Parts: sequence; structure tokens; C-alpha cells
Amino acid sequence: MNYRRFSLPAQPLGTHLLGDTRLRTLVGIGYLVVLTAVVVASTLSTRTTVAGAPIATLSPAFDTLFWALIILVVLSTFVVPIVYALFNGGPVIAFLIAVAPELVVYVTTGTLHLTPDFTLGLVFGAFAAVLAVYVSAYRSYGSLSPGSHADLDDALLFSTAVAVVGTVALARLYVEGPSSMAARTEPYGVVVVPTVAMIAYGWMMRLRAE
Amino acid sequence: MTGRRDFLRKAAIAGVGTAAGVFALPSTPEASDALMSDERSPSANATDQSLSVTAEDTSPYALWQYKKRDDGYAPTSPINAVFPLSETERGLDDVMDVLFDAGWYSLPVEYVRYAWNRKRETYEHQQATAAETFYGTVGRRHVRCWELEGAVSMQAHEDTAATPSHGIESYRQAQRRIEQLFDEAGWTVDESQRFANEKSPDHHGHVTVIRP
Repeated sequence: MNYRRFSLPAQPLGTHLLGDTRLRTLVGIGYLVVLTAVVVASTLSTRTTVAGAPIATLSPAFDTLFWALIILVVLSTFVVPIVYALFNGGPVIAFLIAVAPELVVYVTTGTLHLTPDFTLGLVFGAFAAVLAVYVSAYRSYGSLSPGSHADLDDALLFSTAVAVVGTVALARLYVEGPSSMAARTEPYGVVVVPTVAMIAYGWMMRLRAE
Repeated sequence: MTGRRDFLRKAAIAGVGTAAGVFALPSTPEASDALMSDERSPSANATDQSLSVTAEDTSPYALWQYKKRDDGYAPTSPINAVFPLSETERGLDDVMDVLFDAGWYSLPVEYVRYAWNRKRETYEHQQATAAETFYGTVGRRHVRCWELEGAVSMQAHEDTAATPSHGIESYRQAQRRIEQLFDEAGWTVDESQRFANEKSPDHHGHVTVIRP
């Protein structure tokens, strides 16, 4: 296969970073905003008291809320970023959806450790980001070689950066972290393999296009 | 040429961003997560003990943690570590600090549970909680604590992955981890008591007693 790199048309910078189409990008931003708001509200609700009693004691319904929150976080880590990438490209939003829950924890509690939760957010966010670049290449050019299209450079560079960070995070969890955490992360952590493969292929075609 | 220079500029920015991202990565919470060994674990070497706590009102220790339901409170998980601190300088905060120093999160996402307070004759909301990870998407160790009459009662368990809700993977594994953590922190972990709170999958009623 010999892809010819297009140097034109020059699209506005960053078009493919957030998403391929405006309306779908707004849907992604909306999801990100709602996710962040729900996680912030839940985190604060366990830290808020009314007349000395935590508000979570007011009703057993709070257990249902926390159950729903955990499902929302699980979906936002493993499923929604990939769905968004397939739906609209947009590596930045796909990545942010996966890491937003843990970043909210950092902002609200001041604590951030390289736990399985955070590491898998980084790793799945990176996978979705790389996938998003391929989706954009396919939707815009009918090609599965994002490296062959200059206007995807930004998206390819961003997804490469987060893929490196995610891979380093996973490696650190294995090398420096406790073995039980590494064991829990392992079945999902294999997603770095296709992530790195797609990045490598993207850059191979990018260098060939030079 | 402009396109190439432009690309190199962006690549340099991405490289700096990548390095900054890697540099900004936080450390892992604990270097080790060893469990107390079978030989040293007081809860593992207590097969012939007679029951010491048989009901909620017989001791300052709580026996169970409870879930609030529309028709009252139902026991869910057994208390499996206790800290007799009434005659010491230490309290609940000192117990929790051992966990926080090991990198556990305070007030993670969790359900609301209660313990029986015999003095006030009421079910009391969890007073302090901690977990290895905030959400526990792929499982975690998690504790809830109450300080009642100067004694801390702890419920420790290992959660399953949230698929979609958390279940109990093990009580014993978390109890052994707590034994190890407090042993490493210089507390005395050489005693157990038998509570009437056996619960599947693996709690046999042997409750670890931890002293400063």
C-alpha cells in the first residue's frame, strides 16, 4: 500500500482534536460536563453534613446514587471513550472522558495515586484517543492511515503523547506498585498492545509520507 | 518547507507535553501489599477460642455493620478488627492515619453503613472510611470504622471488580492486610477474639485485636 500524503486542504488547527463534526463534538463535551458535575456532586455529598448528620444518611436512596455513580465511572473508563471515538473521532475528548473521574478526585480531595482506577483511565483513554485518529482518517479520507494526512498531525501527536504517558503509568504500576493491584489491572491493561501498535503504524506511514 | 517546520514545531510541543505528563504521574500508593503471614497472623492461629462477643450489647465493640432499609437495619458484613484504645492516648484518627500513610483514600465512593451504638441505643453512621482506590473499578480493599466507648471497630473487606456493583471478594485477605499494615506501623498485632459473626465467603469469627 502506498498512501499519498495530502498537504491540502488546510483545515483550521485542532479540528480533529475534539471531534469530526460540530454537533457530535458538542454531545461529547456535554457528556464530559455532566460526568464531571455528577462526580463532583457525589464526592462532595459524602463530605457534607446537615445538622451534624452526613446528608448520605438522610435516605437509603443515596446507596442507589452511589451504585449508579460507580456504574457511570466504570462505563466512562472502559466504554464511553471508545464509543465517542467511533462516533466522532476526537482524541482529546475521548481521553478526557476516561480520566475525568480520577481528576475530579484529585481536585476535590487533593489526593492522587497511581491506582488501578487512574492507570486504567489513562490506558483506556489513550486507546480511545488513538482509535479516534483512525476513525477521523477513515471518515475524512476513507483511509486507515492517519499518518498519510497532514491535517491529522495534531491528533496523531496528541494520541501519541497520551499513549506514552498511559504506557509508562501501566509499567510503573507493575514495577513499583503492589502486586495485588498489578494483578487486578492486568486483564484490562493489555489494551496498551493495540494502542502501541496503532501508534507505531500511524508514524510509520507518517514518516513514509515525508 | 513551512509545513515541515510547522510539523517539527508541533512535534517538539508534543514531546515536551509527553515528558511533562510522564513527570507529573503520581506515585503508586504502596510499594508492597504484603499480608500478615499464616505463622504470625493472630486471626489465623485462633482455632480453639471460646466466643467473647456474642451480641451487640455485650461489648463496646460492634459485631456487625448494618444496611439501612425501609423496614429497619439488616446486618451485612462482620466487624473483623478491633482496637481497644479507651485507656490509651490514641483514637480513631490515629487508626486512620496508618491507612492514609499507606496511600489509602479517605471517604471513597461507597455505600452508607451503620453500627449499633449501645450507649446511645441507635445505629450510627460510619465514622471514618478508607479504601485503596477511590472507585474500585477493578476491585480494592476497603474499611469502615466506628469509635464506640473508646474502642475502634473496623470492618475490612476486599471488593470484587464493579461489574456492575461491588461484591465481597474476601474478608480474610483484607483483615490480613490490616494486620500487616498495623504491624509495620509499630502497633501490637498478636491477639484475636472470637465473635459470633461468621460470614461467607471466608470470615470465621476470628477478630484481630490491635493495640498501640
